Amino acid sequence: MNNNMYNDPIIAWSKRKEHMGTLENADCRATENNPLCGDRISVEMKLDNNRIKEIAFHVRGCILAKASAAHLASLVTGLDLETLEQLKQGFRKSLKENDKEVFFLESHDVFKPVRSRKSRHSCVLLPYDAAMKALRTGWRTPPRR
Amino acid sequence: MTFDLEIIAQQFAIIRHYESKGRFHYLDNAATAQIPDCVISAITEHDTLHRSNVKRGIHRLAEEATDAFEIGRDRVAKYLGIQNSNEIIFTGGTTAGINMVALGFGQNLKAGDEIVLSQAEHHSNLVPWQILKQVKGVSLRFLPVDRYGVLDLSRMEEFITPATKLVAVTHASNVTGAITDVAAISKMAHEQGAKLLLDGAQMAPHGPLELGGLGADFYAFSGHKTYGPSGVGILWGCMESLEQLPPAFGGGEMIEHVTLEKTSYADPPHRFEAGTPPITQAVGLGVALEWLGNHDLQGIHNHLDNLTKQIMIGMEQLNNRYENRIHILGPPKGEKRLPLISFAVRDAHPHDICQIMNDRHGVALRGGHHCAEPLHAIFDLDGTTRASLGLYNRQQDVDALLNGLEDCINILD
Repeated sequence: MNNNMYNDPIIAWSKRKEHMGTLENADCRATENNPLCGDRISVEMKLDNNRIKEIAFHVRGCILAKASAAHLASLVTGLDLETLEQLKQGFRKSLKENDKEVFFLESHDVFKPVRSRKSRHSCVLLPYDAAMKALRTGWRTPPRR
Repeated sequence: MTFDLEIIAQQFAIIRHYESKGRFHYLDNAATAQIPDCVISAITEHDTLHRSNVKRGIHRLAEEATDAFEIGRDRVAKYLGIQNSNEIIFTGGTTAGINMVALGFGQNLKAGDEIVLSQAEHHSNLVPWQILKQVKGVSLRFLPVDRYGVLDLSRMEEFITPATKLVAVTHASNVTGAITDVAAISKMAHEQGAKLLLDGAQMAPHGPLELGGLGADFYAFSGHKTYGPSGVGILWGCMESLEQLPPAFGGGEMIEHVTLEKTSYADPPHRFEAGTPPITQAVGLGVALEWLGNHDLQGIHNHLDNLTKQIMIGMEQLNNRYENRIHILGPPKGEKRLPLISFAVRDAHPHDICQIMNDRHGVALRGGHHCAEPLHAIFDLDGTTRASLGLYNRQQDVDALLNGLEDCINILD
């Protein structure tokens, strides 16, 4: 595994344009900031029965934030808040685990080089925080309970 | 006094340690400077042989600790060109010092009073005043900066008026390196009956400061940026201002007499040193500033100026090769500035630049908004990358920075 964070797969993810931009008539949206570096991620989503049907990110940030947003966007169709939270926790646990032999979340293997750079964990997790914030509190019309 | 660059660099254990292992180019001195061996020794000796609380006990260690603490205060005063050591207050750092003035000075302010800041301020000299505004209803006004980030004083009289009670501005910017024309601001502030506080965090390492003649009423800076320990800083105030300043924090040592109903306060500086101060750190800071002051400070200025110019020339050459991708903030080449350069590279995020510089070139830089988010917004930038020099930086550090920057441009293209 290439331990260089700026390897071809990560850079390739950062350049992907699908799921970047805005959505017309989005059901929910949110913006999250990283106050340490100034990264800002805005996300809009269309939902179907509380599950993500479409997603679009606008990322003002580093390559890792862009790559993670594009990567997350490729995974979230059909997820709801609870499963999105579980996905984030799995990713977060992989990043934080001290034992290098611990299984890294396979779907996120491309981000394994980030594990040893604690100061960059927040960059790859920021898209998750934005998406979860949108599902929790960013509804255009709050869902009926 | 002498200035031998290699001798200076070899007085830093961390430089010896990491240079023995490979590339090590520390260019983040505006965030925190490294600490020389003599300061580490002084701290270790104090905690090994003289550790005790100060100004409380009468046993041998208490007297030795108190002596060491007050000698530290005297050493700080000497570096600042201050005759009266009682004007030197040990704080937790620049932020703590400015907050102390905001809390103390602010007690006597009311709605309608004005505090004048600038667009270039570090959050440490912005947020405390925003809090004061919320609590007391004072108004905040902001001196503008020009396109180089230098405080634009051309319309100063519109901002500093009879309603102004305090002007609080940076002595030199941690983003642009621009140095404030203190004499002009001081004259205007005092003519309007206002006090002047200077945030000296960035300027203090580049002494001598000669605070007595500077024209400020308060001056705050941090130990860890002046080759001293972290956790300690200095708030200087001219005695007239300190005698008028209410204490911000209450507790032990700052009192004269206490009953259940009321308390009378000690004289400065102890009035402003509630609780046990950062004793060991104060000892270390005194040693650091004495060490620094014993060097050829003008020679150090010239050396760092030369390195700064080389960086700017190198960036110009990169711009010629790479379509002007680098935008340098601050005064242009040849103009007075601190030895720090913040820059933006088109289509390259500061964190990506800093990571590549660290991983591939052993260069330590800082990326982000440097706790000056409003200033970056004025330049329409989310963040910048910053290289900031210390007295131990050498040609090899500049070469590594410029080579690494070219590498970043190629990787992030």
